[in-house]
Amino acid sequence: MTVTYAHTSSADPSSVSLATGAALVPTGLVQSPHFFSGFVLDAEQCARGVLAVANVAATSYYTRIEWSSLDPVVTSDGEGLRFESFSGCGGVYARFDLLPGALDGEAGELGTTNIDINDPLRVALSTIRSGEPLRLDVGTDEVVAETRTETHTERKVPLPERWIRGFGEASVAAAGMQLLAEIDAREAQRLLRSLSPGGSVWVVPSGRTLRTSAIPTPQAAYLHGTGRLRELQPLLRFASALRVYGDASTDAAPRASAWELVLRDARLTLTLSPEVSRGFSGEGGVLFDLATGDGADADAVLDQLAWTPGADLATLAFALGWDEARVGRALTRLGTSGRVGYDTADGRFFHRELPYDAEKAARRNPRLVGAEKLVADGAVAWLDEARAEVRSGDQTYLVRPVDGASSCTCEWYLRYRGNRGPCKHLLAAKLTR
Amino acid sequence: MIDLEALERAVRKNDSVAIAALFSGATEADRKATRPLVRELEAEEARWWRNDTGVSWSVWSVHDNPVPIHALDTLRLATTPSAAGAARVLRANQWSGPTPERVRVIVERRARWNPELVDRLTTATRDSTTGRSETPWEVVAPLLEQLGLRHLDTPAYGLEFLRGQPVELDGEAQLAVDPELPQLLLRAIRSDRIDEAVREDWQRPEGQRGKGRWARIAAEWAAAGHLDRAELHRTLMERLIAGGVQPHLRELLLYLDELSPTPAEVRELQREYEALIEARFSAVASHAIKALRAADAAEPLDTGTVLDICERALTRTEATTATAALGWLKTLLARDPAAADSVARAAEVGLDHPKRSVQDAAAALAGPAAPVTASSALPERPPLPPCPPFDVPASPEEFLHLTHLEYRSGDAERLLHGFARHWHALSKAQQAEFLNQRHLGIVDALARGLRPKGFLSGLRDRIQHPVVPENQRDSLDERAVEAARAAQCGPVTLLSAPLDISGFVEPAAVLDGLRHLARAGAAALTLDLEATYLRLPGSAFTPSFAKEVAAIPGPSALWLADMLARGPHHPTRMAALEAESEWHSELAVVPRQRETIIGKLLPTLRPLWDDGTGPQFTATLALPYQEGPVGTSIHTLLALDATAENARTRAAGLDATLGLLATDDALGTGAGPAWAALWGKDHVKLGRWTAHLGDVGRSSIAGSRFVWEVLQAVLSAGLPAGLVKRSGVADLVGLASDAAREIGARGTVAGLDEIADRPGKSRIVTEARRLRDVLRG
Repeated sequence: MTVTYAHTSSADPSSVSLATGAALVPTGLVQSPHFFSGFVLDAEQCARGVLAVANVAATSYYTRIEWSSLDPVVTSDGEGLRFESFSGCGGVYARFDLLPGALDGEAGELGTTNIDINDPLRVALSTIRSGEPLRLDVGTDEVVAETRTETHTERKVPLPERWIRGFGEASVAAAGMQLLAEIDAREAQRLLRSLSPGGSVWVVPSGRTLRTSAIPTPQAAYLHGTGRLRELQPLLRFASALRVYGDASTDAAPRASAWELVLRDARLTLTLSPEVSRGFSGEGGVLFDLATGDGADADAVLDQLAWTPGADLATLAFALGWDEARVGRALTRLGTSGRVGYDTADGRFFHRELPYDAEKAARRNPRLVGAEKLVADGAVAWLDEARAEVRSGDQTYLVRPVDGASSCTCEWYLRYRGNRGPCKHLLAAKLTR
Repeated sequence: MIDLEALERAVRKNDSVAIAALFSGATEADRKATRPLVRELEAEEARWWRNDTGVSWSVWSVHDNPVPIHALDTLRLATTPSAAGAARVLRANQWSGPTPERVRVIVERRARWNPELVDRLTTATRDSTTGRSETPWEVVAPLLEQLGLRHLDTPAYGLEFLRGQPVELDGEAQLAVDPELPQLLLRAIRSDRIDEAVREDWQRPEGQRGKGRWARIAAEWAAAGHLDRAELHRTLMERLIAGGVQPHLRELLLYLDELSPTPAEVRELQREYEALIEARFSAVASHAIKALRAADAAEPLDTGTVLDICERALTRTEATTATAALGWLKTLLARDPAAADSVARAAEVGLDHPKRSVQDAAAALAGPAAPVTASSALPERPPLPPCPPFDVPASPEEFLHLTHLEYRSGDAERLLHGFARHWHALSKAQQAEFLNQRHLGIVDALARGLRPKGFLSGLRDRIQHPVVPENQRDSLDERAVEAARAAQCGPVTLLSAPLDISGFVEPAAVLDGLRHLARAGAAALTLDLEATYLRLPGSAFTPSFAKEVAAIPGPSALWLADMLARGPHHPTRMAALEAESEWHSELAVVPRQRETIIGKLLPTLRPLWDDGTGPQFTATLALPYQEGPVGTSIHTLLALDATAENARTRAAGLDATLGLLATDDALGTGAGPAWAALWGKDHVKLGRWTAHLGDVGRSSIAGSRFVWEVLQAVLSAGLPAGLVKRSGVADLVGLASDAAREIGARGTVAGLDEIADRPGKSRIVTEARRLRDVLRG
């Protein structure tokens, strides 16, 4: 998949013009949609936020990669703007939300697309200062676009499929999180400065601040690879608080966490995968739903969410007249293809329509493809109601696809114990159930 | 059409010249038609590597390869559908490279992706899998000519070209080599690895003076007009803002130093310099603030701008930039007294700086920080978190998996209880799989227990597997043998499964187990019942519990009730616990008087280089949940943990300290002497102690009290004896002041007056005076 820009993004001390790729808007596919034109109330904060998201996209926190050409995506919901990206390693999901109060201007189309981030733009964004009015254009109207096309060349950037899978996994992980702690910016500064690079620790509330711990407690957030929080640092000056979200279980297994900087009418959130070596796209926590879910419910929920600023679970359940569990299942299914994200700050799901067949991309998950191949080869043999044997290569594995206590005798399951979703044998068994 | 049989023969004969000849004049369609053959040969070659090289493989064995790799690579080059594939072959490495016949193959091919190939070949890359890749100029040069390109048209070419230039040439001589060199140099600067261009210089003996050579030449060229000075300056600034690896940035700073921008030039790029204040690499920020200060000195900057720059600089972690910012604020105050309030507000940012020296300098401008006193916002004591659970495998699969996982403290005990619960649910194959893991001592013991007495007399063990020598077997092995023998007659009930990592059993669970055995008409296993007795918490030794146990029929309950009646400190029990302490491996699951555990452990304990997974780590975590007094051994352990290399070990020490503080208000009284005995040890890093004790102090009022009591002892012992010479002592004294002020401590510290009375304003003297003032009230 590639994104094509008609021109390049540019910036100067008083204005930022972000070039957009193709987007699916309510009226159909638009090549260079216009999302917003107007002024940003805090220029430097906005520039640093966009830069933070772009920096995450260009960084690999695990193995070294070639300098990435991945560009963040931006979503306009008619009220605010949301910039999102994944790190090169897929283990950090960054989101910068410009809330309605931060923007003063005219909203254009609704939708999601990539924005062009280039080196000159990075330099220009770095030099923007507070106290000066900043004009922000996300996409341009046709007249301007035509003028600019004369001076800029077309650029194609690949959009990796794993971003789409990552969007799904990150939002599903975020939806299961709750607020664990909130500290003021001063304490946040102290905490981030005190964390040793590398290693894995739990971070727990202690008095007025947070401290590291070696054991999980209900209020502990797991932090593996402290360098992954690096992009929070430049924005701490504008922050009023740091919020930490996570899974409140006491299970000692590594788990994802979200770190949100509360800014002036804006938020920067970094969602970290459980471990540095684990990208969100490979987590597979929602593969069961993707393999077996029903699409009709998902479509109905999407009708409620589409092109709106978002809604929480209860609102959606009320609107559809369903119970929350059913809405939750449908949202999980939508999340798997990246079409729905979750905002931990206000507990709302939001719509994100990428101009690709996102569901198809999600279904190309290697484990799911492997499971479908096993099913096609007739490799699954049920021994009784609860157990099946799955033949894969020279090996035969015993699987128990029981809800809540699934198991398999393969290496993958042995290593991760279901913490990274089901293995292909479990999926294959589930598909033949 | 290409003769496939001839092609295969040429490959097998390792004849790249013949391969090149066969592809001479071939179309892309012809090449495509050969790809099935290429795939077959690749598969055969891969099979040979996988199956036929064997364990005795050596570099000479490649001559036995039926599909020689050199010829195969030439064939790949002639048929690959992409620039990436061609680049892989042409990048020089052990097996491939741009041999003359390959140059012919690729140049004659005239593929449509040749521009991309040139791009790939001339881009300096180091990828994670193949290491450094060299540019194969033999093939790049003819391709450039064929494409009608100049070397300036190729990305990163400059970097590679510069690397090849003789080090002895100065700027003018370099221009004689190639007049385009100044533009190449700019291109190299725009890459993200300018350091690569000079690394060769450093490595060559004649290049000893190579460091900064290109920086000097660039400055020469800029002075002579061969390079646009403004463009060079701007380019350097843009690349510094873009960031990158430290060697690259360091090299860019050398260029900037050699260029020596004038204050006027700095003002032209003021925004860029301001952006560098927040650079990740501290040297870059330091350069930026220095340049901006110089520009300000030449022609004063706007007050608001200076304040903004200084505020940014004060948020940096390193002291140098922050100190420079405070110095600048002082200058500004002298220049513009009306800005005093604004300067004070900006300086306040420095009050939160981790370095006490910066805090002091900031306080001098902003006024001292608000006095800290025992705050109602802080709890009296830290909470006691729940003890981490002891996970007995919940399913047969988990039980089996446990033998494959990385060893954690307590896993042998987990395996024993998993065995009791799941052995009979395993298939014969799974049982065999489990017993195959006899390198684990506990599995070996279970296997011995499962073997019929006298059968083969252990011969099978000795010829098949290493077994745990008899003199290394501990009581856990004996319990395993006992459980395995019982398992031959049917499912086994063990009573000694610990509740959590403290090692204690749940009294109610023991009652349930005994009742279950009584209903089944069975007795508890002897050694297991003894272990259960040792694992009962002291609080369970009550008449009522003994009565409940005694009410259960059977000899096991009777024995246990009798032992319970003797109390938790009965000599038999204490002696048994003492004996168990000899075995360190399963400390976490054998509860004892905690001081005894750690006392036994200390001689062999390695908290300083513990990786956060070993038994000592678990023992530390379990400390708050166990019984007995907290004495010198425990305090010594915690003080060592606080300075451990591994962050997780330090975190465990912090957990244990706060857990103990949750229940013991007077913890610091005993801790002080233990900590004081360690300050002179080389492996004790005072900075880590400061960070650790700072976390303890911020947790609660009891934490601050602990910090003060520990530091009072450490300083009293250390200050008269040379502690003042240790790195980080000023921060430690500063922390003592904070803790003393927070709890309103009064009194004296030995040796403090001598330091506080010294002349001057060094950090340690300032901190000593501050502490003395606090203690005098």
